[in-house]
Amino acid sequence: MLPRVGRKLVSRCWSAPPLIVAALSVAAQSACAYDDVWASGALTSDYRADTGREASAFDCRLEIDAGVGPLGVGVVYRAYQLSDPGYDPADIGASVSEIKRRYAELAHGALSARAGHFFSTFGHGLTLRSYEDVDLEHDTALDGLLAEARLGDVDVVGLSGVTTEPLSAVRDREHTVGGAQVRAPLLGWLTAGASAVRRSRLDRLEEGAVAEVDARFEESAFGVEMDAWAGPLTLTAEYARRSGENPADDLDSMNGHGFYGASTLELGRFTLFGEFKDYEDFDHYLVNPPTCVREHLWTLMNRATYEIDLDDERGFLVEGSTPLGESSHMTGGASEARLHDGTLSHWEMFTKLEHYLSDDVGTRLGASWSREYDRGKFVEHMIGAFDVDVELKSGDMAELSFEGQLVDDPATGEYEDYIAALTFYPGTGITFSVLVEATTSEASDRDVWSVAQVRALVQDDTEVTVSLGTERGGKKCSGGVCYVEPEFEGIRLKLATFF
Amino acid sequence: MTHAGRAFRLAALAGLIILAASFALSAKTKAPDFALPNLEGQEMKLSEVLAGGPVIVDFWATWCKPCIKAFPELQEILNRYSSCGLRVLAVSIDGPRSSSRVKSLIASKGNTFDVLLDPSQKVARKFHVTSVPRTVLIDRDGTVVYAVTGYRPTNHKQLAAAVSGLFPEGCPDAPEGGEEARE
Repeated sequence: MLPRVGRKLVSRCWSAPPLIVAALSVAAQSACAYDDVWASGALTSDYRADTGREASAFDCRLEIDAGVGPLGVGVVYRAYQLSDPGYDPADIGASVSEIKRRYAELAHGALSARAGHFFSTFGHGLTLRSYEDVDLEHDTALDGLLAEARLGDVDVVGLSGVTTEPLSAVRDREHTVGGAQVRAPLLGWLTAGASAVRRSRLDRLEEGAVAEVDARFEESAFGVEMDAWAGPLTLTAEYARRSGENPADDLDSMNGHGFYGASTLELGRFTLFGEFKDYEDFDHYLVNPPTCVREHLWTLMNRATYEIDLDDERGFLVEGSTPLGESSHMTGGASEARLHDGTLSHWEMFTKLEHYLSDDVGTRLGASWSREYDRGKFVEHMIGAFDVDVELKSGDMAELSFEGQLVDDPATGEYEDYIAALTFYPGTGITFSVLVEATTSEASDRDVWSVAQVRALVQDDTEVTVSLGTERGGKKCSGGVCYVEPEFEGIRLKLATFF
Repeated sequence: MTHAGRAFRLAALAGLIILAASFALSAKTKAPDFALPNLEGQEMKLSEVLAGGPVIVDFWATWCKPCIKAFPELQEILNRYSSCGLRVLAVSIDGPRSSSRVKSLIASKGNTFDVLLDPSQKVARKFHVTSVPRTVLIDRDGTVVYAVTGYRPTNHKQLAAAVSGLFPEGCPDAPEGGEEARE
C-alpha cells in the first residue's frame, strides 16, 4: 500500500513547482551575464508512513528567490498530501497544494518596497508581530504592501495587509492591518521609536458569507519603545495601548495595555538579566509579546513550558550567568507570573552547569522546578537533565543525554518521564542516533517509545534523514507558540537541500 | 489524465531537473546583501564587512542547544583567522520574546564575534534558513563557498578547511596552530 500511496503523493507534489521554477529559472539563468544577479532556494520534504495507523503523509516545501539588480522576486510552494484525511500529523485540516507565498520587491538606496506577502515586527511585538514558524505551522504572513525607508538616521516602516486566521473547519477570521513605525537614535546611548497600527477583523463562514455574531471588530494600537546603553547596563522598554469597538455590538469593546521591560548588566563575564511584563486585555492574533518565561534547551523542560495569558498577567524573570574557573559555566534563574488580582499562576526555578572534564569530555547538568496553578490546584514539574560529549581516540564523537521528570498533576496523579539518547558522529557527515522515551503515566497507552535515526550529508548542503521506530510526540514550543505533536510509529524520510 | 496533460507534466518535470542540474553545476551562489543592527543598535551591512575579508554568517537562537554547542568552534576559527580579515556575523533569529536574552548569553560565554539581531527573520528567509544552526561562509566577492545546516562536531573542521582555502598564501599572523585546518 505504501509504495502506491508514496508514488501518488510524490506525483501530486511535484506537478506544480516546475511551473514556478521554470518561470523563475528563465529570468535567473538568462540573466547570468549580469554581475548583480542572484538566485537561491531550498527544498525540504518529509514523508512519513505511520504503520500504526496504516496511513501516510507527504509534506514538501520549495522556496525560490531570485534577484537582478534592485529587483527581487520569490515564491514558496507547499504540498501537504494525506493518504487518509483522518491522518493529519501537521493538524492543518486537509491536504494542501498551493503557492503559499509570492512577492516582488524593489530596493533602491535607502528605500525599499515590497508587494505580495511579507512579515513585519514592530518593537517587541506588542503592537504588531507577523511571522512564520514552519515547525509549529504558525503563519501570520500579511499580503499587501510594505515600504521601508532610512532617512538619515531615522528608520520608517509603513505597511498595509491582510491575513487569515483559521478558526474552525467552516469559519475563518480575516484580519486587515495598516500601520507605521518610526525609530531614531536620539542620543549616542538612546534609541526611541513609536508605532501605530489600525486593525480590523471580519469573520467569514466557509461559503464566504459574513458570520452574524461579532462579525467586525475594529481597533487601534499605539506603542512607544526605547533602548538605552549605559556602559555595562542595557535597558529596553516598550509600552502599548489598544482600544477597540465593535460597530455591530457596542458591548463588545476592548481597551487594554501591555508593558515590557528588560535589562542586562555585564560585570566582566558575569551577567545579570531581568525582565518584567504587565499585560491586560491585550491578546490579539497579530501580537506576540515576550513571555518572561525561560525557553529551555532540554526536551522535557520545554514540554512543560507555561503559556501566558495576555489578557491578564504580570510577572518577572531574573537570571544570572557566570564562568566558574576556566572550565565551568553556570546559569541560574527564576520567573513568576500572577494575575492582576494577585493570584499566582506560575513560577519556575532553573539552573544549568556546564563543565569540561578535559579537552575531550564536556558535560552539562540542568535542573528545573516549576508549578502552574489553576483554580487553587497546581501541576508540579521537577526535572533533571544530563549531557556528556566525548571525543574518542579515533577522533569520532559520541554524545549521551538523559532527562527525567517527576510530575504531580491533580488530573492524572503522579508520574515519571524519562528520555535517553545516544548519538554517534563518525566524522564522515553521517550521524547515528537512538532515542528511548519512557513514562509511568497511567494516562498513556504506551510505556516505552524508541526511535533510531540516521542523518547523512549526501552532498554539500544536502541532507537526508531516515527515522524508524516510535515517537511519543507531545508539546512542542518555540517563540512562545506551542502545539502538540502527535504520537508516531513507522518510518520517516526527510530531505533538505539548498541551492 | 489526458495525453496533453501527461506531456505537460513530463515537460515541467524535465524543466525542474534541468534547472536543478544547472544550479548544481554552477555551484557558487551569490549571497544576498543585508543590513542588521548589532547588540549596541549599530547597523552592520554585509557588503561593507566583506570589504575587509571573508565572512562567516552563522544563524542561531538562544533556545537552540546545537547552536550554542557550536560557538566555541566558531570562536576558535575566528581566533585563527581574524588577523587576516575573517569576521563572524552571528545572526540571532530570536523573536521579540527571547531577543533580550541574546546579549546576556553572548557576554557570559565570552564570545567576541559580531552578534546581529534578526527578530523578523527577514535575513534568515533570504538565506533560506529552515532550521538552525545554519552556517554560511562567504568570500570577499560575496560568493557562498561553504554552507551547512545543523550541528555535527565535524562541521567545524570542514568549515576551517574552507576558510583556510580562502587564504592560499596562509595567514602569517595567525596564532600558533592556525594552519592545522589545512591538513
